[in-house]
Amino acid sequence: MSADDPRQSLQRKTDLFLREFFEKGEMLVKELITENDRLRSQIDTQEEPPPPTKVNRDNMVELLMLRVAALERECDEIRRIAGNVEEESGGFRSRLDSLEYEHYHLASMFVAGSQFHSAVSFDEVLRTITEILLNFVGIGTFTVFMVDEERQILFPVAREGGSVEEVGEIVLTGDDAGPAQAALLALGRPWKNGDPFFQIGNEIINLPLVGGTRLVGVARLESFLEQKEGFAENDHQLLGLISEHAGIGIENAWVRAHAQEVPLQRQAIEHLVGA
Amino acid sequence: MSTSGERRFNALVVEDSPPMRKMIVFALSRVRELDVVEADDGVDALRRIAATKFDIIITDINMPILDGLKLVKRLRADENYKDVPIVIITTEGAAEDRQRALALGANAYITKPIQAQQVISLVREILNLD
Repeated sequence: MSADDPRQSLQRKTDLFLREFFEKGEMLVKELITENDRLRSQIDTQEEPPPPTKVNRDNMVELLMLRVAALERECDEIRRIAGNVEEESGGFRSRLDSLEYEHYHLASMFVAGSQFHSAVSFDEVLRTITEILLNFVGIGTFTVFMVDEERQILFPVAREGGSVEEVGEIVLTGDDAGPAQAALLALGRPWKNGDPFFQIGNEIINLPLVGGTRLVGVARLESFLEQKEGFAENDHQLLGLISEHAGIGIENAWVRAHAQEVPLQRQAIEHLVGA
Repeated sequence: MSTSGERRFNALVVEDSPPMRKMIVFALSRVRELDVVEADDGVDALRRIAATKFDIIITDINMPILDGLKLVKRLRADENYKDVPIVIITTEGAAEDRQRALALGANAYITKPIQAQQVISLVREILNLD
């Protein structure tokens, strides 16, 4: 037969293929045997579980006691975990309450501020002061004074918890004026937490009502409502808001009351905005 | 409107003081099952009641035109409202008004200055909300 006989060539190719096939098969079997040995040795090294104790009349109580002890340990662990969860949820509850309180306080500040800025008359400003002091801060008796800049006196205009007729004027300057009046005039800005209470008599605080730097009035807080024991931290912020925004509200109402009503005009508005 | 199919409750807040009314409505907005409607005074409340069936009514006592006491009396005479819970808002000092309101059929009261949590807890308790 010649070398390029097609039958011989086919035979050679078949032999080559079969040799490669069996060589690969042999390698695969060897790898499987190696892996099998490795796994077998791993299983052998692992601790074998203790054989179950056979329950009989003699050891039954002892085995049950062991089981009870194990369950009690498990129970203690569950209690400990439950305790941690309760403790954590208590913290969240307290935090939620605190956030709700803060949320409500901010809402009250917003409502109070918007009421002052939407007031267009002196009556509305006075009513807002009354409602905030009475319903939000919890002041039962108070008097609102306005400043008479010509006579340098404070005169009463509204009172809650009594008649305004019972209240006299307060001099702001001169020999009859005390240090509280001088301090009120000198403040030149709205009251804020930490400022003095400007007490003249036994009132809680004389709260200055300020429009910018100008003292326009004073809210004299005389007593709390029955259920209110004293100021809370948030109340100080409300007092600060009243001091600033009620003063601006009073000034706005004063200007509005004395302004001549003129129609809104584009040319005049553009002049005001510098267009 | 609830998307989970939970029961909704209608609440009416009757208060003539705008800041006070806003704060009560704000507090009640924290109760997710509630839909809150506001009324300026007793007369406005009667108008609202004619249009909607409320599950709870929270009303101030001192109001112009038709005060809280008269409103409670009118509601208790109305077949649709004889059993609807009514909460009155009062001051601690106004014990007499409070007693009269309770005698007329109000179920509970809250005192000024109101605390949001106090309002929320009371309403939840009355409506049996978890």
